[in-house]
Amino acid sequence: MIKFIIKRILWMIPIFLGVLVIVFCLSYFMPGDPVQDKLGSSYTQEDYDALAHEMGLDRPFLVQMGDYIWGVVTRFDLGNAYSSNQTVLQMISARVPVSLAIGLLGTLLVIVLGIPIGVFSALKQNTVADYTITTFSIILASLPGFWLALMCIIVFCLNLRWLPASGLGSFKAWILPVVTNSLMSLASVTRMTRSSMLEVIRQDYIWTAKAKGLPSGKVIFKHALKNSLIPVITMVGGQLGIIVGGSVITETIFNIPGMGMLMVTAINKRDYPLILGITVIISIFVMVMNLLVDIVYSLIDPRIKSQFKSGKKMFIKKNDISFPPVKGQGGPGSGLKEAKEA
Amino acid sequence: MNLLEVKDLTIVYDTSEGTVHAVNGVSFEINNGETLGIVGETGAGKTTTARSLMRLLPEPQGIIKEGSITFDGKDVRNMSEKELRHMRGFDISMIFQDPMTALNPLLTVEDQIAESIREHTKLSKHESVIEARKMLEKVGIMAERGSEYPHQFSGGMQQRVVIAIALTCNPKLLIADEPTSALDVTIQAQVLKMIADLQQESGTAMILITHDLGVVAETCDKVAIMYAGEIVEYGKAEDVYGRILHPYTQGLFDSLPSLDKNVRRLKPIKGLMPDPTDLPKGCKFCPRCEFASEKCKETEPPLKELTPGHFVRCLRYEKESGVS
Repeated sequence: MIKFIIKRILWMIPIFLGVLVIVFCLSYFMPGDPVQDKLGSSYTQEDYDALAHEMGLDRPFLVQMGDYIWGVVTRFDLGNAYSSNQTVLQMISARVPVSLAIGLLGTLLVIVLGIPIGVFSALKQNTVADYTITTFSIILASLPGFWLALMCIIVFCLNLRWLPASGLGSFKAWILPVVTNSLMSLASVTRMTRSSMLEVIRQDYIWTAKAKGLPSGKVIFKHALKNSLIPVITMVGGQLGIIVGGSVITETIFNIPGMGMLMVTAINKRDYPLILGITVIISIFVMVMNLLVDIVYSLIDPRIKSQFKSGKKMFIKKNDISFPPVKGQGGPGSGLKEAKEA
Repeated sequence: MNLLEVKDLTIVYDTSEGTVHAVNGVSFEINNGETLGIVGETGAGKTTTARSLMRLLPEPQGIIKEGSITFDGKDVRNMSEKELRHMRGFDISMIFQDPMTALNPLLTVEDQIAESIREHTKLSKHESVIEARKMLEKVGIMAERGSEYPHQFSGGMQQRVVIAIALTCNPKLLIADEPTSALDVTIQAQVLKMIADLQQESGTAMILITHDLGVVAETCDKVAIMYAGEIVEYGKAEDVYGRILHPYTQGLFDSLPSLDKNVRRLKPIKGLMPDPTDLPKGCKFCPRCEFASEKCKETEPPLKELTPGHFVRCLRYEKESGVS
């Protein structure tokens, strides 16, 4: 198990370096000139050269990239933001907790509601309850998030006046951002759990479990649920990485000072180091989530672990072959001859 | 009293494409320790019959429409969910066709055996695992391998685990649904021999579902030949093998390769089984039967007891004096 995790973590190093290279290239080749932006409309060539030198932008591309990657890898230095005099890391770390809290709460909601609803829907297949759940989840999964958020504001904030429309001042204020941010995932997870569960409960081992005389609760929770959660975990894990990275739309609509908002501001101000830094941080989240998913996977499914036990053949063992031969010889068929002769 | 008595069992599947008449008026009985072989081609209703004995038909499509199943004096059709649970795995257990899919991939094999023990006895978790390991040794698997997972076993070994699960509570009746079809030919005989040995050791009665008439000859006391949801011939194995009555049974024998005759080609039964949603009116086998007459198309032949204990469903024996 530990070997598996170490192997998996070592694999993250080349992936992370690859991410850094790609992200850096993207931001380098983005249109617009940060030096010009900073100087405004009137400047001399000397001013321009001096500022470009100060920002390190007059160096060759490869040197800039190497310098950036070296800084990130050795000191986790994401550079200084153009738009303020803080470092990128300071700006991001001020915003991470909010996005993290909204993302984790949302994921919790997805797990606590999505999986049970999906299981319920599968067990009640082709009933009114199932149809209702399926219809709602298809609608929810296909509604654009921003529209849903705006509708929620109109209904719950403007008309009913139950909840505040922006900020995170009180407990109530958290409800709408968390719910709208995770509603789409909730719908997809419900649907995924349902279809996965439906597939599993038709498997032969479910019949075996029933034939043992197990009560239906045990059949469902011990045998069916665990097997059907495998694809669901992948989905939740993948979405968690992105959700935690902050939702641009939700945070903008509800005016929440999280990563998503920071991203929008950074892009508007053409603050390249900041955009770069946020992208790097989000990609780290995604990688860590994938690592967690893989670990959870291998805890649930023994087949995954044994893929990593290299060089060990699992299938043929000694006592497999040495079972005593059949008395009287001949396969199934030989008795027929005897019977016909009789 | 018979251990199991099935009378006029009729089972249908309600599907969107219509009603599938899977089993039509099947009757048979089994005594303690006896072995009944049910033979027939795919789709003849063998598995449906077997599953209905434990009330393990797919819900809500599979419906037992008519007939009675009496096990050990109790009416299986009217059992409560609790009684059924007690019966499944304890009084009657089942070996499924494909061992690769019949075991849960996420649980260790000893856990899958012990689970059944715990359900039916008051043993603790630890004790049940010890029992499970003893059972593994009985089926020829080293006890230490109990903590391994199904994917670490070969197909034949997996089937042994399935057998261990089925026999661990010493059931009175074992239903083996084509236990060797999914296995390599080289180990089919081993596995069958093992089932037969364990069965004899514990005095369990068995229903063996198979395509293989040879296997039936070797292991079964009674044979039921099924075709399109009906039993077309039924009797003691030596009677049926001694005097083959029904044309379908004859067809099954003819389609077997034989070592002592110089036959270049096998003789298959021509045609296909009738569509179970739309069965013919008269004899179900008549479209494929070489002896079929006009009357066969119209009249459904009754199951007739020709000699004591040997039944056949064919109009050719209508005039013969049977056992009345």
